[in-house]
Amino acid sequence: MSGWRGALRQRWQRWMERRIPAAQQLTLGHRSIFIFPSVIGWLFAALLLVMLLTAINYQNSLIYGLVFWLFSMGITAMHFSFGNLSGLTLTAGHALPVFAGETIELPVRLTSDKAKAHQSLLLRYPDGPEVVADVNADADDTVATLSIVTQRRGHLDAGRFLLESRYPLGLFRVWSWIRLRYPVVVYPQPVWIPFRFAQGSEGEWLEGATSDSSGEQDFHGLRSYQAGDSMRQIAWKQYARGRGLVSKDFDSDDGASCWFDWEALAPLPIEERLSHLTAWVLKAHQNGWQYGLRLPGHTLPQHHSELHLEACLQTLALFGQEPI
Amino acid sequence: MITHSIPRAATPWLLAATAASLVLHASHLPIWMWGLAALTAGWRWMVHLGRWSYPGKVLKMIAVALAVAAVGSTFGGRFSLEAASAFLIAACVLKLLEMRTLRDAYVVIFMAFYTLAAGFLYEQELTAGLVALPTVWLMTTALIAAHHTGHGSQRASGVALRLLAVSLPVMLVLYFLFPRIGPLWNVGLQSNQARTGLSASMAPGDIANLSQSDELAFRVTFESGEPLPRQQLYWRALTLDAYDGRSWQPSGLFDAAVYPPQAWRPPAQASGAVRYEIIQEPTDQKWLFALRGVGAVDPRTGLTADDRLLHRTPVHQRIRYQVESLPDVSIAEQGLSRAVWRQSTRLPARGNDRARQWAEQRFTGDASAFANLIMQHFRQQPYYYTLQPPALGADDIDAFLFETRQGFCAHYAGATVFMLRAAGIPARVVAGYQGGEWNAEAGYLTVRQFDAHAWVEYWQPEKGWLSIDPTAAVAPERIELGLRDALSTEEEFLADSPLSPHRFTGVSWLNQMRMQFDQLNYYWHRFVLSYDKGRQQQLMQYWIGMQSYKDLLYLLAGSIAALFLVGAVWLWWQNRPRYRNRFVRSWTQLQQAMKRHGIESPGQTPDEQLQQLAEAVPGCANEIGAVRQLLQHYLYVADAPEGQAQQQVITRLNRLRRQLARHKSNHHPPRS
Repeated sequence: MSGWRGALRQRWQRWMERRIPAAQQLTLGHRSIFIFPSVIGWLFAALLLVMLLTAINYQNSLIYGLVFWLFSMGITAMHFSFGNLSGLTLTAGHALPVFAGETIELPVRLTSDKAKAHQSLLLRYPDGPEVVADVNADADDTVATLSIVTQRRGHLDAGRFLLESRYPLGLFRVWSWIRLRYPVVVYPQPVWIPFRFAQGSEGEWLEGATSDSSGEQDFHGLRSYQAGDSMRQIAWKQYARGRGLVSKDFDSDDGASCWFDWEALAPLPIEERLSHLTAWVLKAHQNGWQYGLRLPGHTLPQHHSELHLEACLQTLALFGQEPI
Repeated sequence: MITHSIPRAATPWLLAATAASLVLHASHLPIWMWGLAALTAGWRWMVHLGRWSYPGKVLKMIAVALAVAAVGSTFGGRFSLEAASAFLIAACVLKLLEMRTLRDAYVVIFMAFYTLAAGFLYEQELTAGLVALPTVWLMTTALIAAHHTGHGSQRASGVALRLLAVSLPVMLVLYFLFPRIGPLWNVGLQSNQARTGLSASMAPGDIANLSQSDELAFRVTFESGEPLPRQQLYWRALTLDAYDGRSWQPSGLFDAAVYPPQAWRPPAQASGAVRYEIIQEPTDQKWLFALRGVGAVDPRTGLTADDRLLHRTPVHQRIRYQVESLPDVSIAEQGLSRAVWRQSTRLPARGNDRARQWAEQRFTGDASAFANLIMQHFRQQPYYYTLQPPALGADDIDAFLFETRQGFCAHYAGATVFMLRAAGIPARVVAGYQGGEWNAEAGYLTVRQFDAHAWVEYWQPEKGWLSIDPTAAVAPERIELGLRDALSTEEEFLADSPLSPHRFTGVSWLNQMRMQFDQLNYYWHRFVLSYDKGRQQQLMQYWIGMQSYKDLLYLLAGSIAALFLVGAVWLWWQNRPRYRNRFVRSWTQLQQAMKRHGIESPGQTPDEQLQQLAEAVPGCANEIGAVRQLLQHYLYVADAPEGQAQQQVITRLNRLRRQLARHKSNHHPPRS
């Protein structure tokens, strides 16, 4: 039963993939818009039928007229509903990377071609919250920020979100399942375990820091603040006591430096190793150490900077996947 | 979605739409219903303003119980059309009290739609149609406003207007082509409002009441385009041949009717035959209106033995029927059946002795001579024609003939028949309408309630039934000019309706306006209200020469399909891609082709994109290289964006696109 269902879902997804391929940008048109009368639409039809019977039985021309007017209004509303989505362009906005398991915010830029408005749009990932948006004619783009809970590390595949509208009369539901490609990476979920010492000179990954190091580098004392000092180096306690900005002075040359090595975590499975390495990288960065990363096929030299952190996390995230 | 609450901006529209749907029901809604509507709408408005809260469950239950009880007691348990409408309206206005979510808004609006439709059962005049237009607009606006999220710039009222205007063509096609069929079943629900009009019994004062009403009775168009002279416009509806000493009624001898094709109709070559068409307002009765010597033409109409037309069922809706008459045909000249003879000469055993004596003394054996004698008597003696005759006692005919000598048409007709019967001549009162107002411009005759009239028919051997009108002897201007001119200066025409435009025919511009408006109304009746199966077939034959319903259905389907096509083309035209210039178009089309090879990067320069393309499709690398150079030159070096350089670039871009199409893409979209 469930197998049969799964097969059906797969077929449906494959068909969707062919019909509305994933893209960074998509303009809605005939191929990508679905339309069907809503429950209210069917009820409206039933109401018109009752009215028509009234008109026939009472031979009342004005009721005939009203029925036909409302009916043709329904037909027109179908075109209006369709037009409310068609011509709308959706572009993947800039998403910021998160760690797997966290919620990622995905901005969708909604652009109307020409001077055309798109009203009362609902956007929703299958398990995410609903977002309402309007695109006004002759106005700037609208950005609707959707969110999903990330599952896996690596290139983000957000899946398809539902774009739906019942405007103007609610008689028709017009919708599309859209898969936008976000050029964003989900970092592995950090799982903290204490630092380990690798045995042997080859795999020794922690140098110049004591094992019970609380993450402080050799501390030389305080000096007055200089432009360019990291925020982390500012002695905030001193600042709070009213001594002005002073910086902790580290000796970064022979400060703590370390290597994080893939092999040190053998024989754990790949994903766990990546999670631990991620946690270590974060911790080392927080501690202000110089750290390098050795993965099979990748080596990032020792360094300490925000960019370096990002490079490390990205390398960990994309381990075993093709680069961007 | 449906449980979302209603946007704030939609509430006023919803309330206004509901209120507007009640307008057409104004004539029959009990006063408490207006109170209820005002209360619920007012309460909902206070909720909208945030001053009050929604009523509680208990209060709502009480309100529902009270409303049901009120409807029940107002209509006395009789389930008439008014009672049904009142139930519907009560439900609709009570629903306002708990209108919170979108679902409630749908319920309210759908009920309001049906309320409006039901209103057309009471009011169908041009004004009703004009009231309906803004009502439908309000309802549509309310529905759209309920779907607004509040950030949109489009105004619901404007969108509704566009929606309704665009819908008009389809509506008109459906209206004219949708097959009109007869009632599917007999409608049990009828209005219990008393209709103004003739009744089946005539006491002396009855028709005088009708003369106070300027309501429309029926309209006539003549095939010849010209009306008969006024003196011949006697529209017969009822023959009253039973007298109980007080009022005249139909005896029931003539209730049976013969329907076409068995029924008599004037021979095709008969000279003097009049063909005409009548659009008649509902009377809730079976009788129709026709001139003397009528023949049944329309299959729904039957001919009775006393020369009248009957409809198969009581006329609850406006109807239209064809009639042929041969006014100078002789009727029953070969003799009367025993039953009819006895019924037509029967008088009560006692009463009105002076009139009986008067008749017996003067009757010489010739019916026509005696009838003329009566007419002469009325003409020469001081008799008066008046709407307000003095009250009469027990022997009312005696009192009228010999004492008061003032009466309206019913008095004269009743007294005349009485005297004819006293002389042994078969006679009866005929009730109907006399005259009407001819609109020369549009060519139709309007007969109103104040044209109601009663006259006399008597029977003479070899000649059959003949008619005389004693009123014409007393007040010839009633026949020649109409009621208004027949009334003396002290009596006011239409005294009960001081503002009726029919009172001001002396003011020429007012009269002009009234005639114009009446003409509008006539067209409305003719082309809208009485547009039925027959008219539809006429119209179709006239326009497109179609013969059968099958053709009509084909035409309907064809028109709808054509309209759909037009709609689709319009949509496509609306959404067609538009480019700033021809170069942008070629480049965009090339980008589409590149997408198939997996190249899409919204943020990259054309050059970078083409570079990627060259890697993805090695087979075209040479061509791509050439295009890249050309493009760089065109975009950043050439000084004229138009002309030869542009044409060259466009040609190359298109050529590359065609080449790409020949190369099979080895790009597969990533699988999820």
